Amino acid sequence: MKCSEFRKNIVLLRELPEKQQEALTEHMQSCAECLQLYQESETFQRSVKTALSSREHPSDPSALTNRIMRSLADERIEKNIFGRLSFESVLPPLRLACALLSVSMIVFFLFEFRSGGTSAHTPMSVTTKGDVALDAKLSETFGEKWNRRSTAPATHLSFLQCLHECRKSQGRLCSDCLKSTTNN
Amino acid sequence: MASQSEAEIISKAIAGDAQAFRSLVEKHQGFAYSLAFRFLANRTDAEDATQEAFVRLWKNMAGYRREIKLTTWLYKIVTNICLDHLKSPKNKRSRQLINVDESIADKIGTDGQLINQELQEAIIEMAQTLTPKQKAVFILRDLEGLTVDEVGSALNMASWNIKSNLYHARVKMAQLLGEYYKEKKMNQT
Repeated sequence: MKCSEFRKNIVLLRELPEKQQEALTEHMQSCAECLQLYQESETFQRSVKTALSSREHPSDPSALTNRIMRSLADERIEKNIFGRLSFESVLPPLRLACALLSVSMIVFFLFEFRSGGTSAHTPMSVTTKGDVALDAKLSETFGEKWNRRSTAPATHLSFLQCLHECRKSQGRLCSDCLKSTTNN
Repeated sequence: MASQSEAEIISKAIAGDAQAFRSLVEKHQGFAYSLAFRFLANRTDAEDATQEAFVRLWKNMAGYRREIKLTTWLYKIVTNICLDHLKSPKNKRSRQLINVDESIADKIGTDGQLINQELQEAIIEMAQTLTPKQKAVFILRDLEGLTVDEVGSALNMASWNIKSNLYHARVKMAQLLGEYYKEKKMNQT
């Protein structure tokens, strides 16, 4: 064995296979320089072993235990909060809410369909301030004809809008409005 | 709790028994702390790492395999936490300023104990100059006395990689220790 090879391997003496260890031992018996290197390495290992004999300990073990257990408790609280908010836990109530919403919407539309859709227009024409004023004006202009409009509530709103637009833009009624007022 | 075997205590802890886990903490925190201290050379950081290690252990208790010793698992957890800490940018910045945070004068004991303590602190301080991987391999193999296979399992490293890091770590540590002894001799004369 060459000295260079010995120097390379002596550092990892304990990690080498038995045969290689024997070869290293043989070499240092015949080489004083390598033997010294081995002794230095041994001193290093001994120093490390001496250092190993004393271990650092926590200054207050019970305080450290309490600190660890407190952090576990915090972890559990956090886990519970986020556990409740997880997708799996939120899904069932979300499904129920969607189902209830769908059912209530179906019920609402069925009710609306059965009542003929009248309820939607009548409040619209009287709830806004502008509509009430226009209603009074139209009543004044068309008299009895306008007051009978409730017999055709479905067309009332578009007719009302048309009348309003005609009066605003042209100052007179268009042919459609004239026809509607004559029919009414 | 003292009359129960560790296997029983572990089973209870897996089932979520906090009191059983507490007894595991009491038994192993000293070992986890001293390992963390060898890595971090700072009491506060070592306590933080120990705390984090047990929190991780608690979280992953359900995945514990009984054929592995709890200490082996703890070696892995503590080492990973310490390596993460050593690789963090904050730690890299302060690495040059690291000192063992307690003076030897604060230690009470016989002369022999004082020498051991001083040497241990010197070795830990010298280990701060190693790269995180070199340091991990050196601490686990030379200071903790783990086998190469155990080190490989704790660090997820191949045998050749461990030996390579160990070689560089030992060469550097031997050089530093040589200088340390030289300095001590000079101070004595």
